[in-house]
Amino acid sequence: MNFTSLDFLIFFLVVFALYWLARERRWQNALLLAASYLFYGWVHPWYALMLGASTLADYFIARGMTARPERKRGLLWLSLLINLGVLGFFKYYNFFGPALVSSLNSLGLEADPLLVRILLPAGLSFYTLKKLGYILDVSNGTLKPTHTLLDFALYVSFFPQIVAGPIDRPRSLLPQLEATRVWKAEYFHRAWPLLVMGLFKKIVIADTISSIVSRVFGLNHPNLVLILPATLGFTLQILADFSAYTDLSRGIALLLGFETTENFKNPYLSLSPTEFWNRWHITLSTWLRDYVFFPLRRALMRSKRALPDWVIQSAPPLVTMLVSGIWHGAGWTFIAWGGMYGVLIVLYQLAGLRGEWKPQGRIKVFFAWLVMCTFIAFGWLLFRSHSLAWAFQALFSNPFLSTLEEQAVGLTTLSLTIFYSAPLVIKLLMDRHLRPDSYFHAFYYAAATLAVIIFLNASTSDFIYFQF
Amino acid sequence: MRLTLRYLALLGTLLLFSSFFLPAFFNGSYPHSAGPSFDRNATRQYLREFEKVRPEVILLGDSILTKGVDLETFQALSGKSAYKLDIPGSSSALWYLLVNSNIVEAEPAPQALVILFRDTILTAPTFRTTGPYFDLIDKFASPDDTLVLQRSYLVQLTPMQAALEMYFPPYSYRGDLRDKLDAGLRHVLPRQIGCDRECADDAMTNVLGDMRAEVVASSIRGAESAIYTPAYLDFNAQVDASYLPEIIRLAQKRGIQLIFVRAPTYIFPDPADEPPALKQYLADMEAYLAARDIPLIDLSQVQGIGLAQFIDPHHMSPEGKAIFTPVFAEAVKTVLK
Repeated sequence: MNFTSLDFLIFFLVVFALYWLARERRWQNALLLAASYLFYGWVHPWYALMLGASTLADYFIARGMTARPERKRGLLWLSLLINLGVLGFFKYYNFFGPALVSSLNSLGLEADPLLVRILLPAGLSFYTLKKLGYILDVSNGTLKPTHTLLDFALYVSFFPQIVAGPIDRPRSLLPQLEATRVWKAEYFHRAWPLLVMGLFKKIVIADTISSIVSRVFGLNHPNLVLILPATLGFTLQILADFSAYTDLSRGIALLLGFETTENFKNPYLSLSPTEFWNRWHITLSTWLRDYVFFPLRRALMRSKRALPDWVIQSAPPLVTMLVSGIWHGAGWTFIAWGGMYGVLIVLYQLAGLRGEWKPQGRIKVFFAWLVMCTFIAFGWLLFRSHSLAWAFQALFSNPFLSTLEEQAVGLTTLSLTIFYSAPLVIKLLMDRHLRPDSYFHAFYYAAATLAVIIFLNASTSDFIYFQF
Repeated sequence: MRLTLRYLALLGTLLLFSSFFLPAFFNGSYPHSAGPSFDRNATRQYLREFEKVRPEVILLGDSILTKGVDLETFQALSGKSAYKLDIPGSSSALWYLLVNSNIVEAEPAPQALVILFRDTILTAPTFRTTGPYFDLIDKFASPDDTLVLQRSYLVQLTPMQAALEMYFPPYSYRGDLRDKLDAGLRHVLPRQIGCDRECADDAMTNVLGDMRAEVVASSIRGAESAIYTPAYLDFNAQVDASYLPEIIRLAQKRGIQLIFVRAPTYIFPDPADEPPALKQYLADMEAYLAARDIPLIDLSQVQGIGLAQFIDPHHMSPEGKAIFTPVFAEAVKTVLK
């Protein structure tokens, strides 16, 4: 079920009414759990079965860790095996499948090529990270396992977050699930701007720009004149699409009385790669920081063999960013995208430009931003391309050999990108310089609502991050 | 709280203003009609062609006909003069319009009309009627084509959508508004490099037409998934709401022999892959047509046409066309009266 569909609107209105009528926390949670499984299994009921089985496994593994501390390590490995095994199977089988089939065939074993097409259950990557975060926290002793299966199952399957995050941590969401919730008008006042912006960014901006961007990225042999504006278009599309999903998710959660984590803080204003990852998909970045980056750095620092400082400094960002790339998808383009950020972070660190670095003077800031923006756009080119060879062939084609028609399509893509990015720039300026309850804000939201009505049913496509 | 009140007040004002402004701006009426309003300039361009060519047989279909049948070979093998009315992106709604306003009006009437279709599209009246396909329908439909309005458009609207279409101008005129905005955006920058409106529109088709095979296949599968749903695979439940009875009535009234030919595609590479419901659908269709003395020729599996003879799940390569055309011509020739 898609947040922008009529099915979801009806589903949510029913859940919302019953939820606040239920009043008692346990009933509210039971209703949310049932709703979450219905939401998740709407198209493919077996997705919900798989979610239920893996949730049960992790619930009992976490309980086992406190009941039998001497078996903690073994149980942790068991959970890692289950979670990463399932994720790896569904996500990377298609990557390795054809090679596997051809190897089997070369050995004289007959393997059905159709078997290689395995459908990735939506949201698997997101709820796997949620469960792994829980298990790792329990294993480290930083979190006591919940004794209520209902609360844990709801934490994992919470429908506003299950398909594309935010990946809220157990320490943030579980206490809210365990607390009594009473309706407050404040929830509505804070939720509707998120819902309006979410619908506006998805229906008006992302879906409209995607109509031309996806066609350029679907071409056999695009040239530089086509690929550059399409890359800028995709840079806009992915921000609008993913941040829209997060806004809708947070708005829906707020209407149910839950405060969930912000996932985007104007990422395209970043001046360095580290800053970009502190602003883009924040819940994934912090998850990777806490469960990959820090443990790896600690392990390298405590290594019995004294390692050179450059290894300790460069290996953690490189590995973390590669993991991020692989998490996004099976393919060399994702690995290159993650690897590019790893290398950039290391290079910026070597140049002494760490963390929240900010140069002095507006011109320097502008150039630092321009350089980072170029890297971000280049990253999205790799991310969206279907192969590295395709991307580089397009990038290194001679723009002077392009035809008038190709230039016209390039300019059309550029004009659409500029036009549809303008509302986001205006909103950014308003947020910076005006009071949040100003008439300008109210007018902006009203105009955005009108635009949503006008663009309704123009196209209906899934959110990009559903596929991860 | 303050923001909410301001928002509601401004939204109300904007909606009220646009409700008065939009009907006036687009010269429309209030309440707006539910569904699209076709203009009076429905084209009958093929009538002139038929008068000129005077074909004995008209071949009607979409791009599968374009890519799959060679007209000259067909004429040579069937011994009949023919006209290939192939419109890429067309479907049963457009075929009905063409039969109604062009084919049965032709003087002299053709001896036969051969419709090359695939799977369930003859009983899918809403298929390929909205989005980019609407312009095609609009070109051939007039306000008198109430059957098209009813069977292809009104049937798709929920009561709430129909009410919004009629009484809520921001919703009724959303298509016109989007078209205006889109046209402005698409033409403004290309004009600066000497590419006018026509050039910019052609550029979109010409440049963005060279898609990778897997992208084409994936979009075809996505767009076509609806016509393989259980509802569409129930011939007897669909037929009365489709254009098929009307196409048959019109052709028979004019004395034109109808022949339906099921085209080969690569959606189900092996006959064994076909869903049982599709087999039942075709059996029901054959019985329905036979009761009306209309032949149905199933050429979905032709010897020598395999994956290598297709450029995507629907369209045959030139090699596939060379193999298919003689088979098609012979099959049609045997049932021609």
